[in-house]
Amino acid sequence: MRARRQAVFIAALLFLSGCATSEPVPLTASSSGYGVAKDEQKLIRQGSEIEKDLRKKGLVLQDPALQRYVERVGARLIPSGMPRNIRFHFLIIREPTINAFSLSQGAICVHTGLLVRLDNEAQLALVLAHEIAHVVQRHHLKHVRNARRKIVAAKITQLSVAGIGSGLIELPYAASITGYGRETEQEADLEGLKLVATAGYDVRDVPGLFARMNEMEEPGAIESFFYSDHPSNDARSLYTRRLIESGAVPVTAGGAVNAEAYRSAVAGLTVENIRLRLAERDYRFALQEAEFALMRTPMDPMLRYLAGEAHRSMAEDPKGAAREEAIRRRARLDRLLIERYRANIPAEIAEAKAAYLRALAADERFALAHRGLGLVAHLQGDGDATRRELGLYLARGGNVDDRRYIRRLIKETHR
Amino acid sequence: MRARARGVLVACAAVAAVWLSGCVTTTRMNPAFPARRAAIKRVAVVPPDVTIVRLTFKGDNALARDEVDRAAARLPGLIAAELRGHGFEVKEAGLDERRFAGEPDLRFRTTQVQRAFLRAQTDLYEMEVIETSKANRTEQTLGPLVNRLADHAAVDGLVVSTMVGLRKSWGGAMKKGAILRIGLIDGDTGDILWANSVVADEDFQGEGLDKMVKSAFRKFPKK
Repeated sequence: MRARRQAVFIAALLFLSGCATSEPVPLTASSSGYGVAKDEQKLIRQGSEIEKDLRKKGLVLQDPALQRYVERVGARLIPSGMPRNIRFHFLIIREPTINAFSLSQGAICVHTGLLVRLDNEAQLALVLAHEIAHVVQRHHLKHVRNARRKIVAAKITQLSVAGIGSGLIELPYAASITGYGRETEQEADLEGLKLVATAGYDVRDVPGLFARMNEMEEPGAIESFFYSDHPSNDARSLYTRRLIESGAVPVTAGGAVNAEAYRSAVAGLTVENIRLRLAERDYRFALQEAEFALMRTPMDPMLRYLAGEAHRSMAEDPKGAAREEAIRRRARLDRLLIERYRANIPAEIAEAKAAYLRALAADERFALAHRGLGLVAHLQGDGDATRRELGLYLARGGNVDDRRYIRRLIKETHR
Repeated sequence: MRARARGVLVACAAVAAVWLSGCVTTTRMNPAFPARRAAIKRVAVVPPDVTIVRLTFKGDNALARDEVDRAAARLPGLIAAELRGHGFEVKEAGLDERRFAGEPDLRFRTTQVQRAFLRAQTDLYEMEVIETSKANRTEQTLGPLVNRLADHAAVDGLVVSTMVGLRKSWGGAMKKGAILRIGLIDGDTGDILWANSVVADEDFQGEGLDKMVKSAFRKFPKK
């Protein structure tokens, strides 16, 4: 009797506090009423504004061939019976971090940093399907209604610091990027896997995606992107394997994996992504990505050069390198750590030099290697070598973007 | 207890005395700036990076997009006026949003430069106020990243700015505040030649924004 009274009291409280809103049904239900409720209209509007901002800031990659490829994979995954007033579309975001997110108006966004880490089309299909499932299951709306706001409020600050969130992310979508929590993410994994299987992909390989994510340790504290609130990659790998083994997700015999097609589609992205990492002062990540890519194409002069750039950057900016490590280890940036990186400058310079020379060994006309050697010589205060190597770079590089910077350095060596 | 309070008061008085004596500052200056100043004749104002968040009691905070757009539209003009007052030729059409239409890569470079300036602020403003002697030895750089924009605008220097504002609308009086940071960047090297940070705890639109920009340039070195 007492328990019943308590239940009635709690229900009354919930009703009065406005929390007793009906649970939104998936968009595939005929009576989904997508875009009718005011809070959902607001989400759709905010999502469109975020997309507009991403485009305005040039963060949406303009690569027609890759765009068509991602759209083609994505189109296979959209479930039937969707409302007419939603249009799924796919954006490749120029962000080196490993992440993907979705917006209520149907935008499925995947970072270049994630694309370069995947092995095949089936894995890409899961990433896209997972995000499509968030939209179909209306997780944004459920999240807003269930109000985990305080936690998210703290996260929006982090996102602002991390860069992409600077002026871009509306509060309800911060969770779309940082993760919704275990149950919601598991639902998106389950529904996503079903979409992948229905589209004719071989789902057996897909859990390998999570193991691949573990190969690279993302900085968690500030760069809170890739699924930081999601269950751990190991837990997700286990969960998705169990779904497949238990028959909860059908396995298509002879389903597609399309590793070759995938690699060819994203081939040009690796270099772009390493450059983005370097610009973000993620030197260690840039080095890891370059070394990882070199395992596939060991003779690539550009990758050898970029590995050299990562070493040179750590020599040039030991504090930035120390900060990156502090973030990765969720530790404090202290003087000891900075000193350790300062003490390592000669070793980093030697590594950089060796990498540039390897780039030249692969292609003796590779102008950027001379740039690297010139900048290393400048770091060491060797004016003659600086002038010689940077001169070669300007002579062989053609109309390079950083001509002004290089000319200034050459000029400085004459003083 | 009384002794402790007195200690705090003495410390505050000491800080205030140092502040008033002009030994501390919010500006940062590259030691090479006085020598390089003559070479920086033409500058372009990079579109500012503005974030204004409306805090609500329910925690359903949101970007105040109307305010962001308003501040972002006014800031370049206000900054340009100050720069002209300090003898620079400002290329207004160099890097405005209209010029970016159909040039997403250039726009992306601009975003990268804005982000690089934001990142540099971590070191630049570990402490908001520091001793002037230390502030005048600040060496931070955005590197060759800036070359493409400087080339595009055909200028010697770029002026970047970030503004973060907050507005709270519950609990009696409306509270608001903003922080504006402006930096002059060498178009060749990407070095931050000069920067300043201004805090407003009142209106930061309308005249408030004018005041912030004026205040940021008040201590800009004379030619």
